[in-house]
Amino acid sequence: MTHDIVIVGGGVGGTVTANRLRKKLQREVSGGNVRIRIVSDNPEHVYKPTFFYVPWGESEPEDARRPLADLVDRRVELIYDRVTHIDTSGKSLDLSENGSMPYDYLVVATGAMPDLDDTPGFGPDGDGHHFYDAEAAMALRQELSAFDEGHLVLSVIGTPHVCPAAPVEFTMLADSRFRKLGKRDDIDITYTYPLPRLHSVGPVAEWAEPRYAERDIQTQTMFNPETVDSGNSVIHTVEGTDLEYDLLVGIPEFEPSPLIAKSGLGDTWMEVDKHTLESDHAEDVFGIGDVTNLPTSKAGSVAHYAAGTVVDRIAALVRGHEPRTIFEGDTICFLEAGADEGSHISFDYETDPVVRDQSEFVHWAKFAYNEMYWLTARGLA
Amino acid sequence: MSEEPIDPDSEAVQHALETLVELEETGTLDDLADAANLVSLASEAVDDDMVRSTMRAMVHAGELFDTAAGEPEALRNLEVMTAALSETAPDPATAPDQVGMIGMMRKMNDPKTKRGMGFLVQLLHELGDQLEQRAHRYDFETEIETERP
Ligand SMILES: Cc1cc2nc3c(=O)[nH]c(=O)nc-3n(C[C@H](O)[C@H](O)[C@H](O)COP(=O)(O)OP(=O)(O)OC[C@H]3O[C@@H](n4cnc5c(N)ncnc54)[C@H](O)[C@@H]3O)c2cc1C
Repeated sequence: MTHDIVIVGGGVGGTVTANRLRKKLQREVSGGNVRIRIVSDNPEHVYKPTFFYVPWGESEPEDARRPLADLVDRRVELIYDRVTHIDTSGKSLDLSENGSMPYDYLVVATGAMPDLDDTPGFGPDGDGHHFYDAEAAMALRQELSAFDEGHLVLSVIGTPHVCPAAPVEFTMLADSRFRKLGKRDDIDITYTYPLPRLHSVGPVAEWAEPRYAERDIQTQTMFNPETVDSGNSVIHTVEGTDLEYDLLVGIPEFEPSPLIAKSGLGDTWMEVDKHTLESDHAEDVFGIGDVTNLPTSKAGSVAHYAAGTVVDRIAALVRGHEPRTIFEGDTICFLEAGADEGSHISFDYETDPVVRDQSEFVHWAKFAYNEMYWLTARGLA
Repeated sequence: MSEEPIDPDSEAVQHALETLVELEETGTLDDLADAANLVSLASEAVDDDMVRSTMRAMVHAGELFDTAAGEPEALRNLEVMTAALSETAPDPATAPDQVGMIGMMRKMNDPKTKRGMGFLVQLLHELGDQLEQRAHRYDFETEIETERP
């Protein structure tokens, strides 16, 4: 009997899962007993962390993209289509163009997208900028290259958002770049956060506080934008405060594909067991990465490590064993500190986050990792 | 980093000192100092672009190795091909004699050449098969409705 393993999504989680499954189940795949297929609505694999460097001209949008076919083992079938519904009782998927397809085991890795329409400052009348896709990052590059004086506001408008460190990193990087260009005296920088401290992860807040003070970066906490008046360039908050800006970089709220709610896999985020990654609502369905409600950050490292757990569990099931591997919530994020220094933060379900000392080496490690990522996607390392 | 003052009598400080003394006595400390100088030199000399371009080259090599590791049969065939290449001629100056149409026909009676032909013909077939499969995998034209469900 052939086991059909289907993976929805060709991003970090989906690609690593497919390649590792192929390696792990080599015998079964070459014997024709297991078929692995990826369904992705994008024939290109996008490594989003690269977009972070695009506004600064340090990476190009094409550095973030490669054809999925370059990265996915040739023995994994690629189907370029969008999944429109998951029938978890009949164990099949509806596709936008190609009818439906069955599965025995399903891995959902559809990620998260910014909800720009519902984020103040964005949408048709907004003039807020962000760096979460190629076009937006290029538009921000245009603005930054002409920004010689005024008030730059980095506002964390919505949570949850992907990559917890990005807002802090962007602020530190802005400070360091403007200093290098000798423009810092003419540019004010303000960072705002919706909670009473600088970051939801305590140690990151503690790390940022003295560094912001040293660098003359202004901060406003408990700052929840309600509306943004782009005509007058003012943010109005729920708390009743106003903040004027010349350039607004906003961190929008993220949301999963409506496919999850429509298929009964969760109210908004896909609800899974935080250790086994199995769906709370359906059998033989697993969730990894940004799409899940896992009680940790929405980061590439989480998608990567969770993929390892799902691969072990599915391989055990296919071979008729009891799955044993569990996900412990491993999370690692780099933290750019500006001025060519970097730090990193790591934690899991049991261990509190620790921010390491910053150094030039960690900064390079981040650069090196962003290149090495393409090997990670192939299921190496 | 903790901002608290360090207690010289604390267990951690004593332990750290013992480690240091041990490193000094074994001569390891000198080696470490040398290594630190190297690291410091590296940190002066290296910049973002060097890290990026070196890594990029290494990653491409890594991908090639990964592909090879997943295709042990291909490696075996590659060894056959490299051995055959060596045996064919030591260098271009001492290449085998020219062969025309007639010579070619005559060569076709040679059982070893026939064997090689069989391999090459099969290789062409598989090449066609792979091209067909890959063309489909690199087909970016498939139109998907732009609206998300
Ligand atoms: C600017 C930026 C910087 C970041 N920096 C870092 C960082 O420094 N460190 C870090 O760890 N993380 C970082 N992240 C986060 C990291 O990119 C994500 O956590 C990671 O990509 C999550 O992987 P995923 O597989 O869950 O989703 P994704 O990589 O987003 O992949 C989702 C895939 O699903 C496909 N898809 C969606 N819906 C459907 C459907 N219905 N049918 C078929 N296919 C579908 C999409 O096309 C896509 O291929 C950053 C993110 C951004 C945007």
